[in-house]
Amino acid sequence: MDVRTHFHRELNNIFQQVIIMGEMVTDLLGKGLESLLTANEILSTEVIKNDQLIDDLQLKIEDECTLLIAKETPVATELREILTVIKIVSELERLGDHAKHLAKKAGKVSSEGLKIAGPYLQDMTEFGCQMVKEALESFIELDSTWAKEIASRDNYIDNKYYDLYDRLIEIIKEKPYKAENLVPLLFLNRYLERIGDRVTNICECIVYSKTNKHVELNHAQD
Amino acid sequence: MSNFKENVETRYKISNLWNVVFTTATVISVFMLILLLLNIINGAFGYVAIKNTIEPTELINSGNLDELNEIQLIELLESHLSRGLIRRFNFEKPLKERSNTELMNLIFERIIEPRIVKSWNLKESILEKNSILHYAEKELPGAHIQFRAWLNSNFLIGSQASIPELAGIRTAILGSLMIILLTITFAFPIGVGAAIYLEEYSVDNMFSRFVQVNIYNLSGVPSIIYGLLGLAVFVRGMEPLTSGAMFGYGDPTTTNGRTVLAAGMTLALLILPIIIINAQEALRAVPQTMRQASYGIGATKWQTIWTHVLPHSMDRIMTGTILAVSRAIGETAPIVVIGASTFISVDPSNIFSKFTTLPIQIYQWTSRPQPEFRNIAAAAILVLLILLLAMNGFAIFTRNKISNNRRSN
Amino acid sequence: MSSTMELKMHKEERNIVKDDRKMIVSLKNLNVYYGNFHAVDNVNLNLEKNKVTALIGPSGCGKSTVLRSINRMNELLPETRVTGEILFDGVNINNPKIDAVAVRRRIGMVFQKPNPFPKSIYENISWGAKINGYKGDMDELVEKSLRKAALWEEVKDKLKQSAMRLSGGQQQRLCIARTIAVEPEIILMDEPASALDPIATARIEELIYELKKNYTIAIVTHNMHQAGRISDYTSFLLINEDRKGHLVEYGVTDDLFLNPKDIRTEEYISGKFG
Repeated sequence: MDVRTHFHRELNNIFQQVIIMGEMVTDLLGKGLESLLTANEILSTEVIKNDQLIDDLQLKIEDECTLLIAKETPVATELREILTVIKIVSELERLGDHAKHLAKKAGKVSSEGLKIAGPYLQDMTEFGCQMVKEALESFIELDSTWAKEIASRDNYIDNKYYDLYDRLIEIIKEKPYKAENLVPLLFLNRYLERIGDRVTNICECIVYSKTNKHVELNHAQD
Repeated sequence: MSNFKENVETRYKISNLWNVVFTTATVISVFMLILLLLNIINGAFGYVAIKNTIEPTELINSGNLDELNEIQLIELLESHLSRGLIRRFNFEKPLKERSNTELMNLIFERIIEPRIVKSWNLKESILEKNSILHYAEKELPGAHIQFRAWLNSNFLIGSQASIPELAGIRTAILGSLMIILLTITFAFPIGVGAAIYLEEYSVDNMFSRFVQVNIYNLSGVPSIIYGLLGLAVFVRGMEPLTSGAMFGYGDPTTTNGRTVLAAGMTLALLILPIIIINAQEALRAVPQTMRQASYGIGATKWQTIWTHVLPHSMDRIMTGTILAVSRAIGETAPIVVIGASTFISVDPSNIFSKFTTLPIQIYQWTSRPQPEFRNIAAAAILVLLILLLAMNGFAIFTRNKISNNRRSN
Repeated sequence: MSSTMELKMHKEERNIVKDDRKMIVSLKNLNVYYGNFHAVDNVNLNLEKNKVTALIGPSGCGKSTVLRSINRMNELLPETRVTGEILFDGVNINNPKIDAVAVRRRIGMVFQKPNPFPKSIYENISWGAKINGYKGDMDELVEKSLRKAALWEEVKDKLKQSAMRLSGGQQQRLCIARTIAVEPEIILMDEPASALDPIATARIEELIYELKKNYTIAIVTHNMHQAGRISDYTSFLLINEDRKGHLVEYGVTDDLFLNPKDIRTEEYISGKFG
């Protein structure tokens, strides 16, 4: 019989908030990308504003975790879970920042550049968001094998990143006058590549909370 | 180097030595108790030499009375006994209407009249049987040697008599029982009540400490002092009450207040301090948490005491009372002082009767010159011991039932 | 769920001092003396309705004494003197004119060691109701009280059995049920779990969490984690150089455990002394 139902209720509540934060982040990434691709400045402003909400939610979850540690003195798996939550929300917050970066460039990138980079960026964002969703699910399920598998998908994003990078560099080499318009895309490319790394970090934490072992999952071509 | 020198062997030796000391102490006390018991049993059984005033062979040649019919038996009686006695028997129940057995008993008691001329104790009877028989043959011609248990049913239900082999202790047993019942009736409620007051109600101040010290002192006062107090207060001071005159019970022989009631009250006074002290200990042993639990849900002091404290301490209170009452049963001095009758053949019929008690009876018999009285005294001591054992046993049984209920319920 | 409003509230409520709380008990300048010994010095403390207030502090700091004065159990000890005001629903109950027996019905108490009466489970609960003049259906009251104390399922088939045969944790929950049965408004608990094993302790803590929906609870504990887990408000008491117990800090448990105002509180809750 569960005798610490109150504590577990609180813990569960925190987990739910992490899931919600994950949904907010993926939603924001999608909107950020959309505002970039469609040069929609209204959407871009909304994304920048909503990123603040994610920052607030991160602080709220962190505070609740701190309080739970102070008051309930969790140990073992429960302690690692709470520590993992704190790490996850800080990664999610940075993913939110990436969405903001996308939105900030809305209308500031040439349509020619977008034509080349757009499909790449969209692919990376959608793939990254899927990874975020699944990573958080694997956290709730406490499935470390799943988490490891998700981390290994980072290679796909990395490959996309290198492809786009190579293409953009090629164009800049040919037509250096276009550099001013294309360099921001290099940065965006870099930000979206980071999505994969952040998810990998999240997965490492999940493996730690499940097994109490620190693992290095981004052993790919870095 | 270690700073310890365990010295285990010496320590074991010392502890073994103490073990031996304590075992010896126990053995000595058990030995003493057995010696006491043996001494009493020694007196209560043994050979007696019985001599008949008229031998049956003098009455009938064969010596066997069973051969005679009713008419012959009546003739025998009429020829050996005085006319006056025969008239008295006829007045009680005409001889002709009596059965053969009754007539034979009369002949046995009145004509043959067996008398104990000499008695031996149990030890002699077993070890020196031959020399006893030898002695009887030489010194006591015509006497029968017979093994006699002085403690027999006639002794228990018989009343006092001046002939040892006919004397009984019914009166004394009844006196003792009545007095003890009265003692318990007075001492138990008053003692427990006082203990409850002192433990639960009184505040700790100079007065209560003074009372407490005095109760401790009183429990050590010699019992004869209580006797003198009883004599002054109950026998003399409260004579109208204790003699029963107030209630119209005025037994002309006991208008002086030397009654069962006065004795019961005196013994109650004697054991009161012991009961109070024991009951206080018992109440103190009730865990404080139990009282708190009761007060915590809004119980008053009395509800707490009645429902929780008293039931929880009753077995211990009873143990104390048993000890005190056992002491009271054996008390002689105060009873003598307030004037127990030493020779009384009338049973006490109510609390205003004259009385005697077992210890008094024993004391009185041991002071008689005839050695046979020492034998019945020993038998009476056995009765007293058995009575004590029975009462204690009953009380312990009841107490265990209470404490088992307390534990399992 | 995590609407903008809620997030804003979270940011703000941490710094709000609530003053609309409904205080059911207020101790004002409470002093307790045992004979010449000044045990508790000038304690001011409030119990909010339907909240759990914990009293923590090292042994001998007078936290139990403060608790016991709330339902006037202290006066059962000889030569105890309590001064100051104990306002219960606005009435000063530290007053000889107020009947302590009636106060104790409304302010129940649970003790450190489980102390059921050596009677049946049923009688343990019915007795308090009976002496306090309960007129309703006794069976119903017994069941209701046992259910509230989360004990009904375990004992419903053996109500006639002796309470002494229950385990320590069950006995303590029975004691809580016994207290609930007389329908108090406040339950005082004096280290209710200190004699129990961890599982039984956790159950009692869960129970306290449930009970505060209907009752106001004050709990003394020397286990500050327990205070952290179950209480809404915490007060920290300490003895000073004259061996008098006094209140060092009183506040919302979350604040007291994350950011105590007094350095001594911080040292105590982080285990540096006590």
